[in-house]
Amino acid sequence: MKDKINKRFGFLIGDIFIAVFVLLIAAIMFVSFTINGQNKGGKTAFIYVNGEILYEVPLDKNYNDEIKIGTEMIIEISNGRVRIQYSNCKNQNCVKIGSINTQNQIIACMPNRIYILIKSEADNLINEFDAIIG
Amino acid sequence: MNLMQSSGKNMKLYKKVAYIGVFLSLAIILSYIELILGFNALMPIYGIKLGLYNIAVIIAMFSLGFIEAFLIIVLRSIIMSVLFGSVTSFAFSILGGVAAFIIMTVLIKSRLFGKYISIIGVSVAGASFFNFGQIIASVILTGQLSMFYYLPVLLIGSVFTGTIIGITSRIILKYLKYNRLF
Repeated sequence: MKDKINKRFGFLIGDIFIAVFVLLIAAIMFVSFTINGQNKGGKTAFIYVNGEILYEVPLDKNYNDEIKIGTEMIIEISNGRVRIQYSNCKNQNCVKIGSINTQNQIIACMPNRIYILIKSEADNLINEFDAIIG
Repeated sequence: MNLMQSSGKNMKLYKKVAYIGVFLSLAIILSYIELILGFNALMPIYGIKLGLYNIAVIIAMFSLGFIEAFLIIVLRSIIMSVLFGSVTSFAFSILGGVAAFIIMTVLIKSRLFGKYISIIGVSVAGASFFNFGQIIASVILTGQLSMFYYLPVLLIGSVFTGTIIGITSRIILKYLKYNRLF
C-alpha cells in the first residue's frame, strides 16, 4: 500500500478544512450566544445547589452581595456581575473562569454540584414549565 | 497506512487480547501522566485537556482494529474514573470518548482518508467531538442547555490539541510501520 503521506508534517488539504470548519462552528456559536444575551433586561442569577434553585439574585447595577454556601463556596455579586470568589473544589476551574453578566451564561462547579445561571425575566416562565413537566 | 491488513484481522485471539491489555495500560499511564503533570493548570483557558491517551487509541485503531480501540476507550474511562475520578468525570470521559470514536472511525473508513484527510485531521475531528460529548454529558447532568456556552472555547482548544496528538501519532505510526513492528 503506497504511503500517501509525503509532506513534512503530513498535513493534507482535508485537514485544513476540518480545522477551519471546527473554528467556524465555534465562532458562529460564540457570536450567536453574545447577540442573544445583550438585549433582554431584568437579568437574574439563579444559583442551583444539587439541582435545586437555592438563591435568586437580581443583577442590577449597584447591587452588591456575597452569598456563602456552607463552607464550600463564596459567590460575589457586584455591579451586575457574578463570580465565584472562593471554592473548595480541587481543580478551581469555576474560580478561574471569572465573572459572567449576560443571559444564558453559566458558571458550574461540578464537584460541588453548584452552578450559577443568568436568565432574563421572560425565560423564567419557561424554566418553571420545565420543572412541572420534567 | 493500512497496518490493519497485515495484523489486525489475522491476529489470533490470544495475541489480540494481550495487545489490548498492553495498549490499555499504555492509555492509562498516559492519562495518569497527564493528570500528575498538571497540564490542565497550565492551559490558559478553562478545562482544556491534552488527551495524551488518544495516541495509544489511534495506534490501536491502526494496528489492532476499531472494536479493540473502542474497548480501550471504554475500559480506560472506567478505570481512570474509578481510581482518580468520580461519577461525573466518568460520564464526561465516556460520552466524549464514544463520540470521538464514532467520528474517527467514520473518517478513517471513508474514502477521503489517505487522500484528503490524514490522521491529523481525524485527530482534530476526534478532539472536537470529544468536547461535544463532554458538553452533552454536562447538559444531561445539570439539565441546563446553557452548558453549550462553554463549547466555543473548547472547540478552539480542540483544534490545537488535536493537531499535536495527530502529529505525534503519525510520527509513531510511521516509525512502527518502517520498522515492521506490526
